[in-house]
Amino acid sequence: MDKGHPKESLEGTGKFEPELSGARVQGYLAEASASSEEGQSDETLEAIAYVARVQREIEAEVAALRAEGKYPPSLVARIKRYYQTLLPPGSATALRDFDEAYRLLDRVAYIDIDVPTQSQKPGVSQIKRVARIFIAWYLNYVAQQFNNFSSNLIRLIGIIDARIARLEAKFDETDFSAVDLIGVTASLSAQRELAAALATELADNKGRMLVAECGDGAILALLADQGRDVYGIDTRVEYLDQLEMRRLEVRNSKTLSHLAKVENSSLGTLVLSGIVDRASISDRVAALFHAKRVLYQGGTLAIVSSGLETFMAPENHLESDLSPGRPFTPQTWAELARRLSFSHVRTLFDANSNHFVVIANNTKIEARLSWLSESAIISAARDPRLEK
Amino acid sequence: MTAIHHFIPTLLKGDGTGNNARAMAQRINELGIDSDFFVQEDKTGEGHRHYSEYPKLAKPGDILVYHLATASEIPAFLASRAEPVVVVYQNLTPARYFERYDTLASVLQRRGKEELALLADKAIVGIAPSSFNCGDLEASGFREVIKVPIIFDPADFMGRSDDAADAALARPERRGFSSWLFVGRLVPNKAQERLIMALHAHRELYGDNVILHLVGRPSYPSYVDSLYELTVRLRLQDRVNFVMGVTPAELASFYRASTLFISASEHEGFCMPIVEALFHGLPVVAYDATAVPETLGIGGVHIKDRDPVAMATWAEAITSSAALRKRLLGLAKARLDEVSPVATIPLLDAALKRILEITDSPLPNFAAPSSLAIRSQAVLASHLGASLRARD
Repeated sequence: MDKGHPKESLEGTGKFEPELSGARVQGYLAEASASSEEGQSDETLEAIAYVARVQREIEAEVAALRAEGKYPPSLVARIKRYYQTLLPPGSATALRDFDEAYRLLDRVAYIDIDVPTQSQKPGVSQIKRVARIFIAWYLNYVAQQFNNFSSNLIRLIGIIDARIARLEAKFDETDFSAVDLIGVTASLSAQRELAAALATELADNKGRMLVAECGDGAILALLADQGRDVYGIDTRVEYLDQLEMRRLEVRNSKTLSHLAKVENSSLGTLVLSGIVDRASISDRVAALFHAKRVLYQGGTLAIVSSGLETFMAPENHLESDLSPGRPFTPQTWAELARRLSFSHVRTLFDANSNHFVVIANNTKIEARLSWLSESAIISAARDPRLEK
Repeated sequence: MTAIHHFIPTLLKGDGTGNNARAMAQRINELGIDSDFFVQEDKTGEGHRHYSEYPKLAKPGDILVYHLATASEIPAFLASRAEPVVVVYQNLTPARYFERYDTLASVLQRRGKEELALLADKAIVGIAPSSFNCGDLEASGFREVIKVPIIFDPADFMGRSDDAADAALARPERRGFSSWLFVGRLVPNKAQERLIMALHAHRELYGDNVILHLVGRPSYPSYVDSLYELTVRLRLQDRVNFVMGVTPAELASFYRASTLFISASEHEGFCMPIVEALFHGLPVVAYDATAVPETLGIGGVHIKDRDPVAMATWAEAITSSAALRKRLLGLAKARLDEVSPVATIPLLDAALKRILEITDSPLPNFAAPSSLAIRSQAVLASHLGASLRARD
């Protein structure tokens, strides 16, 4: 099953699962499987081999079921999307929890100096009462200070709560990121010449290839037809259904959340499209940083994008109106790639120069970041939207 | 005179943390070392002392073992003590799983992590049941970490099944149906919704002939609501059996009546129900996440992703292939041998020896027999063989 490819969960949930992303669990899995066969009886070894054989058969059966379109990715995606609508939007019990915690805090914040003096031992109760009278002056003083402090603290928490409540009331819960835009350049089906030129450029590349936002699969199919080890990701299930029925390897995943789960230096080629046109600047930079990380030394990054004219064309009104950003020029992409220490940067254009592909090789030397705000990049990479 | 005392926030009968602590205490007693429990809340009715009473009873040479599975007041108390402390870390579920459902629960999970870090400086050794949990201890700054799998008493799994539950599970209208079982609290990290989705895929691909039993206590009403609504939307309300709270006898009935144990859980510190399923000879299909691959080992099917089609296809293969079931039953038996007390008590002994060496305490005779290991050997030889034969 594992071909030494990116160790990323195969499922297309788009759900970020940190425990599965790191070397940590993979290490445990390797440890578990390595130790599993040591010192086992012949019968057990035969059973392990039998189950492994069945696993291969099941993988083939699943692929066949997919190819027949019997349980398409769009159905899985619809069910998952429906399930998401059933979840509480924020913190379902936050208000109740806060009120309860506030009430508990208020109740225990007061120090009672009336120390219990009961005792089952004879005479001890009187001694305690006398001791209480003698130290009452001290207890009173300490308790008064503490009670002053705690009552002011409670009041402060109450004020903060009221201020947060006002902010929450103002907060617009519309999630623009949920608007499923279709990337202008998510596919190059209309630009077959450019897609073919890109495939030729990548002809000598080794290793696993990823086409992010593969769209209708124009590039993906070309590479797969060449016998390349390639897979694509996209969130548009209508495309995924078609591609899966063509037996192309695809997953339902968003670019950034998917890249976040891919292991370091595990890809030979990364083709980025869609996100490079319409995402915010910080998301685009985050995608470049991920590309730097997931590509191995000498791996190739290809950025498939379009000119501003195409982006603003009437048929792309959704993208141009709703996208947080607009496309970069090829010169900007080339400059960004160089500053991130990609080398051999070159650009291919289609006949009308409406679409272009910036190609760069990954060189694993430290990137010069001084001109970019690192914190902005980090915050982009940790964007909570990625975890959806 | 050395004594090794256990501190545990809530001591219950029948829960994993409590059972493991009791098994450890039993072994320590068998080695001739005193071992008592100090608790914040005692739900056993056995009259264990409150942890705050410990200072009155403290003796030189005491070693204090804290069983951490939730946030409590005890770590702050232990951090202030002079005695050497050992932490047995049962795992804390990441707070992010609860944020959506219960802010207070997520705050408590975060506090639990802080308490772990607080004890990291103080503890001479951290003990965890899986390498996954050991990783948490190392990340929290523990100097020395030892892996000791959860020690269970197979006799606990051997209770008589419940007659009424047996009858209900064998109702005529259920004939011809196979049963998928998952045992675990209804909480988001156990991802029961993925099992419902897999059941839907199975019905679409292989027919309407499966009932899914989800056995476990609910913790968050909104999570349970979402599961209910999903089953209704997928028209599976007659095929998903939510069983919220069972007696040990009823649980035994479910294990015995089911066709396979299936798990999509995303976060487990060990996952004792998998071991219990293996004990009952149930084929196990489990999503490989966190500590699950270590617990399941060679004993079942590891699935790398929770694609509903793949899960449904595995389940169908197990249900329809006697040859596959036979192999899985054999592997279950082999795995149980690896995790039974016969194998884990020596690991506990090694950890205890290390703790006593660090504290310059006299070493007991570790050759003393473990009654739990002896009993479990007998149980596994008799019951398991019969159970496997019955399913074969």
